[in-house]
Amino acid sequence: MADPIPLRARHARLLLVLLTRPEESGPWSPVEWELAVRAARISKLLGTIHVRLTDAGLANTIPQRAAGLLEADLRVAQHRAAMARIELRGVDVALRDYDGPLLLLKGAAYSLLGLQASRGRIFEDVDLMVPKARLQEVEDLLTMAGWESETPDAYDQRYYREWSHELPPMRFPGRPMQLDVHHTIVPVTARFHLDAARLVAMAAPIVGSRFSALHPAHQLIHAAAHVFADSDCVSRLRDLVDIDALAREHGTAPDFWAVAFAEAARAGLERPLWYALDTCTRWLATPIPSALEGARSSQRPVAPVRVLMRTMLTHTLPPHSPERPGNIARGIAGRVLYLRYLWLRMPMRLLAYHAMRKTLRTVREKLKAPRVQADAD
Amino acid sequence: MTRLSECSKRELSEMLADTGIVLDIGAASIRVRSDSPALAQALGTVYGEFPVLDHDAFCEVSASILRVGGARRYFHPQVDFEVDGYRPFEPFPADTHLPLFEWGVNWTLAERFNHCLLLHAGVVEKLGVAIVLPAIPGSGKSTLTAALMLSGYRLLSDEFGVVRFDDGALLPMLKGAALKNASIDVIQARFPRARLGPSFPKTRKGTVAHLSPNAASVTRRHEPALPGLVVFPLYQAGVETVLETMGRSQAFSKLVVNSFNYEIAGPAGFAAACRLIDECDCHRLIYSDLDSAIATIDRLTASVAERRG
Repeated sequence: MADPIPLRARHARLLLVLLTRPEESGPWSPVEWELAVRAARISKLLGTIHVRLTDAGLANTIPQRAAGLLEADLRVAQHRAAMARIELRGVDVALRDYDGPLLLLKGAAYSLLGLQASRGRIFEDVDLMVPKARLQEVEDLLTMAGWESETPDAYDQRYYREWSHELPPMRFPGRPMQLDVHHTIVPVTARFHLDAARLVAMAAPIVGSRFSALHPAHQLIHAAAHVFADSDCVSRLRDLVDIDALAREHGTAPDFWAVAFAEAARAGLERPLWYALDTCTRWLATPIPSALEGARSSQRPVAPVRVLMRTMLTHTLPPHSPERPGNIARGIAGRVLYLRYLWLRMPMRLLAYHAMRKTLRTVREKLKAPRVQADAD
Repeated sequence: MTRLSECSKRELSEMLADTGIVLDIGAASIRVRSDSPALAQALGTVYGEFPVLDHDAFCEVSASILRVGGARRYFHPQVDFEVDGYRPFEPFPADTHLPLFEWGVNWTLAERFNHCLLLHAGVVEKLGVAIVLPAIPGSGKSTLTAALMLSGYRLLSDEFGVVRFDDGALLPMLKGAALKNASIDVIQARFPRARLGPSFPKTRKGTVAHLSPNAASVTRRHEPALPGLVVFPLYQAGVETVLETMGRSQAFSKLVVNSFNYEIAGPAGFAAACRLIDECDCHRLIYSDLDSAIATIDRLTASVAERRG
């Protein structure tokens, strides 16, 4: 019988067992539990795993010490979710006079929609989306209400504004949550042609709030594009778990898959979606109706690309090994996928210019070199 | 069972460099690895009463103190704290390995231990009464906690008041008590038999030395204790000892300010803090003379123990 877990590294295997077949953790030794917990913490998945094990009725089978650490991060997740709600309340007030579309993306949307994907998930920041034409107005209102840009560097400011799909991150002083205001969901310079107006038109209001959420198909495409079109695919298991949860929950609705494939094709994002679903089905056993095989295989990359990508993703997507963080294969695959990311993200000339600016700055910073000073207590 | 103090320098260094030394500190276990023989020796002193454990125990924190490579190591050697593949801090000078280990592990525990309410407090116990000594750095908390252990109290922790959510019990988190500057001499003068690790001058907090938890405290490190007293210590040079009873609401707000994770702990944290204040007599203790401070706490402890029967 084929190995059900497609990864070789021990920490990553244990983590996938917890995510996909948790009942098999029964005979684990303390050291195996420890390694799994460390890998899950690196991936920010402890809270999610707590929720999944509890749902599976396995809460009592977790050794007490490991269970404590799972509970600890579930509390962090709950706290961050509460902080996100405070942030959203603040945004609501700050944008009182704004009458345009106001969408929530990712975690904030999952949370307000009450999706499975939000349970135990640790919020990093709050993501909003407004039409590009209203971006300035929204930024001004937030600034007047007290939010500040977190990006002091003038070049970075320009980079975000001209070539990115969001404003430079903002923060209300003293609050833990960062606020990202987007005008679309993939970088504007990328080789994709996503119609932001269509995202807004297909969005639906979230019941009981003034915010809207992307159409479920767009939620899935966004989550897939976030990893496979807008990142170097390094340490992205958490995002994969998001995609899996969205596919499971939305996938039961009639039309969902048909709309998702059609929308991805329309935006030129069929390949990132293919990689996302391919990895999810093989790693997380994400159920995708077999009737869709035809539609999916038409979007599949040619065999050599497929094999190469699968191999590289095997090395990069899981968390680094807690014991041996500097793995050579992972390092090489990460570099290659970083180049792929830059290639997807911007045209050659812009890339060259951007790389030059970044290099110059790195040299300047190396000469100064600040890092956190530890306190000897 | 073999204790760390019974191991030779060589055994300790080999263990530390190979599978690591596992310290079961009560509520948590720490695995530490390092190629520094000096750290092995310092751990052997400060954690001398701790048993030598199999390296395959479940550990909440698995950390390494690693020499920083590069040309720098020849003229200004440094060590890094690494946990789970991350190096969250600036490197320390290589001869401050133990302070880096202690500081790094405390930082990591404070980040991770959110299944309990974590107070920044010393905790000791006598006659079944746990005494919580919450304080901001510089209040003489460590000095008083150390002195109490050396006067017959069981030490639960010098740094963390670990409050279990279910029953409000305090769990031991037993580490070397970090004494700073003048308090090192004060403790050594008053308790000549106290066992201290090496002194580390020129850290960011001045000179630091770590008091070794005694055998009685180590043996009972898996025994929780029920809180009976909350005492906010404040050292002020030259003052007479003053003991003031504190109202519940004031004690509550001072307590939660001295918590690492009160906000993260959410409603459970609020409930645990309320319960702790409800079950304890709360005082502020301003002191300069250790003996008088100890005598005051003796008296308070005895009265709580008597009331409990």
